[in-house]
Amino acid sequence: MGVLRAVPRYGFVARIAARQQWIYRGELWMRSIAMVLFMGVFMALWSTAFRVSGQGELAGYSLVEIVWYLAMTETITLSTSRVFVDIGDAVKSGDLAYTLTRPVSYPFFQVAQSLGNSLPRLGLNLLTASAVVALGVGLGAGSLPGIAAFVVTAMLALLLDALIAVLIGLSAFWIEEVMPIFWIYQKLLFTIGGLFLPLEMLPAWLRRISLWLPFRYVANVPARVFVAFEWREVLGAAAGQIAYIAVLTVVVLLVWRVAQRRMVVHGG
Amino acid sequence: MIEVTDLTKTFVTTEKQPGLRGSLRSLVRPERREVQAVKGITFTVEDGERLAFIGPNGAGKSTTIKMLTGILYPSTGTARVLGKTPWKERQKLAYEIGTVFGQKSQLWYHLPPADSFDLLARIYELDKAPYQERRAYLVGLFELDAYLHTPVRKLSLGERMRCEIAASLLHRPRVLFLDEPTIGLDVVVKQRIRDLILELNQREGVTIFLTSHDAGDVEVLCQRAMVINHGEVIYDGRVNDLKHNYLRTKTVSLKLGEPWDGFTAAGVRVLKHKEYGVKLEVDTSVASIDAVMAQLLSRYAIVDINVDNPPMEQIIAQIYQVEGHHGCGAEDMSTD
Repeated sequence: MGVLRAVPRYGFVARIAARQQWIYRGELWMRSIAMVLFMGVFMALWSTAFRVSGQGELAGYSLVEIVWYLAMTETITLSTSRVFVDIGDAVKSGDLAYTLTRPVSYPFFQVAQSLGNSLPRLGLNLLTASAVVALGVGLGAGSLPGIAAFVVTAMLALLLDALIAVLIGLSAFWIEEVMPIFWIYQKLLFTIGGLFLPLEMLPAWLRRISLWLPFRYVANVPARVFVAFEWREVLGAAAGQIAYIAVLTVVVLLVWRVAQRRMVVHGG
Repeated sequence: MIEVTDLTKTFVTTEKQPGLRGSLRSLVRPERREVQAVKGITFTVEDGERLAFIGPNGAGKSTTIKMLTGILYPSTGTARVLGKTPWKERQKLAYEIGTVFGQKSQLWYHLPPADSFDLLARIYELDKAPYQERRAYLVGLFELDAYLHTPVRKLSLGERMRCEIAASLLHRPRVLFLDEPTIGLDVVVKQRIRDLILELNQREGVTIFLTSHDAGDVEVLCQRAMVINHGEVIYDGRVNDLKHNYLRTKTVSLKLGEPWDGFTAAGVRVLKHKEYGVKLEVDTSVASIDAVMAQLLSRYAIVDINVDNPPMEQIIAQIYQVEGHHGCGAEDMSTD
């Protein structure tokens, strides 16, 4: 199936998923409240940390920069995919087998659906977080090109996250519960993904490990690109994201092929 | 059109003994149990034919239909649908067949059917204008206008099922596979769905392959019926013959407004009775249901009437009796 033909197809899936999100916009507002709370807490925490340390900068970040950094990582994290829940359920109930009668690639369908859900959320979260932080510490970080770079890298981050989520969902073929795997992923994002702390604040050995893993491309990289905008870094960031997206796409396809065989031979 | 030769499917399940020792043992040395879901069936379906594949739960109907739609590999045997081996050329076959699985909806739950239709048009790569035309035609035929833009979750089961069947026909499949399409529907709605499928077959020549555990589906919908039990086809013939030989009785259940006081007529047998209720078996080759009901209505004040086909188990038991197989399953002759 040509990639050219595939794009409008799966693009339509994403649109339909987005439309479904809109129907449940009440839920979106609830998430916004969560964002406001998070940012409020972070701002209080870090103001205290800076005051106690008596320094203007910690690991190269000023208070304003750190708060904006966290706003960006939270924006992405609160938009991430939950598609592994649906996939896991479909695997366990045996429903997944029935989707094979249609000429669609199930994993890409799920990725498209995931993006349809998360991209609108990204927009809303970005607005909410920016509003709260601007009110809290002012506009001292970021720039217009920074915003543009963030949006692009954030979208790539969500695509990467969607692929990971699909993998987590497909693991239901081999293990009973997918939630523990998701929790591990989430914790990895929190730590070496740079969600709670910029990677610069991690001990050196941990930072070295984090450089080689995909998790920082989900949270840390887009946030950094906003706070410390620099062309070379942006291009490097996007390249790294695209590389990992390519790798994960291949992994997803391989896992899916094995999973399909399992379903088709053993009957789901 | 559809050719099946000696199709078998054996599932291997691991058995676990209860308790902790059992769990440990199954880790080290799992006990494997083989279940033969389909035991070598052979049949051919012609273009435009309407075929019902009926049998009790666990008989192998769903397993068979999964193999024919390519989502399950057989253990042995061959099958060809529209010249393709389903499990080998699943994606290609997908464009030419339609599937409706009664237990699994293909429509997006929170959105109106219209959106699901549009999505399917993209998935099947339908050109815009022909698709619009086709959709309008199906919406008219299935009378979906009123709820085309209502979220699927707000539709009744019958309305949803009509949308499902319409959705499965958007891409003009040559064969339509329906797995228990009338399950859970009430009598009137079932009839409506059956009529629609029938009309579709007559207008467009779509081959219909339907599985059901409701013998009523056979009666009104199909020219040919295959009865499957424990993975084997025990009857393959015209529906009229099936009706004549094995569907000769109907069960009439009555709720009365006055105490039951007996009723005798040719071909009528009282199965059981209480003070205000009775269950009768009517031999339709001897007495017509209409005549019997008319007599009952004139004799008693009746609060509620239910006319049912004999349950599948009874039909199968009769088939075994007549065909002379050894009884396997369906020894229970109770009509409840």
